[in-house]
Amino acid sequence: MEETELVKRMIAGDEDAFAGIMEIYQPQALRAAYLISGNYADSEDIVQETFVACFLNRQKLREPAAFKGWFYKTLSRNAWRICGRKKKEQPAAELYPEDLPAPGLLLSRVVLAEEEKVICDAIEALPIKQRTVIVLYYYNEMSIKEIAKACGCLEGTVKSRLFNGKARLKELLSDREEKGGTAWTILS
Amino acid sequence: MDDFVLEKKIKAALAKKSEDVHADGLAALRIRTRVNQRIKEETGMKKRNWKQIIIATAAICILGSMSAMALGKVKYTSSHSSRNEDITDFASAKSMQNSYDASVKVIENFSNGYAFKRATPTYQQGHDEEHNVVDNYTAMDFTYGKEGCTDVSLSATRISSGTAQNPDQILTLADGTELRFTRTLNKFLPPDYEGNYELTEEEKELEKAGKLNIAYGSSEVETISSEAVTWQQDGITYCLFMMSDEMSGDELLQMAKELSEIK
Repeated sequence: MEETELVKRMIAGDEDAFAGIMEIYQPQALRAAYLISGNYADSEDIVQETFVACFLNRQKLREPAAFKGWFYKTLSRNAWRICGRKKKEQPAAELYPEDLPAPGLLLSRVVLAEEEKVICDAIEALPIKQRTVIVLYYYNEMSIKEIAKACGCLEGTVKSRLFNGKARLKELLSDREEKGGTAWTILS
Repeated sequence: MDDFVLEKKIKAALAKKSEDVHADGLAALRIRTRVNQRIKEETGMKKRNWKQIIIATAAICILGSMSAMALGKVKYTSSHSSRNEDITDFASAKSMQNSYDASVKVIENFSNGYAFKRATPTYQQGHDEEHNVVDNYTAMDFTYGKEGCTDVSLSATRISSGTAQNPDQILTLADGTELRFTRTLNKFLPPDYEGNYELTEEEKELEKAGKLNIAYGSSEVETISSEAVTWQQDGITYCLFMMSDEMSGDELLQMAKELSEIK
């Protein structure tokens, strides 16, 4: 059944339709919440609270077609609230287990894995609202307009956060190169 | 580094990291189960909560009746709180209470097995007959739980300053503090009953004794008994309250005694 039809039925209180919405949204929402919070346990809490809020407040959604934006707005708010409660960012070092290369792993794969880790560490180090914009733009592939609605800010603010986020990532990655990091840019 | 290259790398890195999350059937089932449970709790709580607020407010009104007439200022009180502000750690709740009013006594565990469950800031206002806000007070509402039993809540205020009229039991402490136990019948009726409902003989007797509370607005007729112990100490009016009649007066008074004897 088409998503908008499911949303309409969910608004009317159809619990089966709500279950259908959860099935559609859960995988990507869980991953987006993980990328924003940096913590798996929190990501489940964020997604859980988001679905609960969406169902309980479903009457407030005027336009079923706008559900996705409304959903991610709720998710962003919950992520900021839950992450804010922790009061400290979980150090990026704790997010990754020791990723020792398996014997025989091609050097390029090792280097790429290292490069991805560096980028993710750098994203993790961004302020949460900047991080949210980066995730919604690059992972969820939402438009500037959709992200502005999700974050409750102007489109200009989204662009600014994207610009500043990328600038910060460039800076962090350049610092790493200068300190003698692996010359991964050559291989990529 | 070229912007295009950086953007490609960011996308790839996030996509790779997201693979840490196995959004598999087990995770989906776990989340779905918890979501459905939470929705049931919230929906049930909304139904119970407005009733609890009305019952508890009636209990406070009983307290406030003397002061309203005596002071001629506060005619009624209102309050609001949000479960989003719940605190589930006692030390943090106590600290929060101290920041509002350090004179309010709080307790973590009662000897009958009731233990701290959560606390919520409650923002109280006293209104005059013109509905102007003439007084403000904030305190934490503490909720205590015990397995298999109805929760007990503890509230404190400085706005109302009276204790229950016609209590069912009174326990007087060594320092002269009077703990007053009252059991009340609360009747919830649908809106169209208003003006049309006839009290039974028993209900008329209870109403005369100030032990019947009627509220309109529920979807069906429902009767809930409640119990409360009220007392005053150091200018603070306390109310220990439960939305049930399962506890004896002696036991609820004993809980109030434990709290009031904290130094």
